[in-house]
Amino acid sequence: MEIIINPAGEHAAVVQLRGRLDLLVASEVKQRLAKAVQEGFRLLVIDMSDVSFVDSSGLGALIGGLKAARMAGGDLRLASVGAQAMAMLELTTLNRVLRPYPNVAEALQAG
Amino acid sequence: MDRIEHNYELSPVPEEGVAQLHAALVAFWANTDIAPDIQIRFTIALAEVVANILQHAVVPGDAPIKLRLRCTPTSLEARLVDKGRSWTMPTTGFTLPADHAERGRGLAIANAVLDTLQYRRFRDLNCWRLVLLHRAD
Repeated sequence: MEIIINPAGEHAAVVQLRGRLDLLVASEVKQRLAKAVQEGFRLLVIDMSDVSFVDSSGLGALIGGLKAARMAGGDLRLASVGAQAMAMLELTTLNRVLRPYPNVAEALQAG
Repeated sequence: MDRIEHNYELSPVPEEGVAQLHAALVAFWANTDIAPDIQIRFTIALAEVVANILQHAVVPGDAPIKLRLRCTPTSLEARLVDKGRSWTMPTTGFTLPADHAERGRGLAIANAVLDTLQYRRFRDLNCWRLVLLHRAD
């Protein structure tokens, strides 16, 4: 999986993920998200538009990133979530805490 | 649509086994007319069970995991057989962990998606059977 993190303001970053977000990469994704929060990006927007598949380990990595962001007083938001990832969020009811937004811009601007 | 059945082998090496699973599913779906939302649900469940096997039952060097995929006019079925460590099905069923948990959702998701999720130990084999009904009739 490719993980690209771009600043989007003083305390915000857009994290673009490309490929499968699964058991093979979950640990690395979680670490990269935690590192971004440590560097001061307490609002993380995950651009899911190029994520082809998410499994429960991948969801766990996003939960880990959410916890790190919340601990820093921020948030983690999902943008451009595809049908498979949305099905995972709904099956686990994690869409209540990992809120999906239509696109990156709306996720960044949400209150 | 007639019955379609294909057999595959998945490596016990996670990087290889996961890639082989997704390649097998792409090939399998190409031969069926299953609706995309049903494909998604079945793929989710099967990937979680395979992930469970790769993480907890087999280790690199073990025999390949055998996968049989079957599509009938009313159901999708997967059978998985591996020679890894045995596993104990929880007697209390599968429950989702708390929202903040980072692990422990895989088989609960599979169980929620499927109409049947069975596990049994037969001699030195772990045998999984997954069934999703895709048509009401």
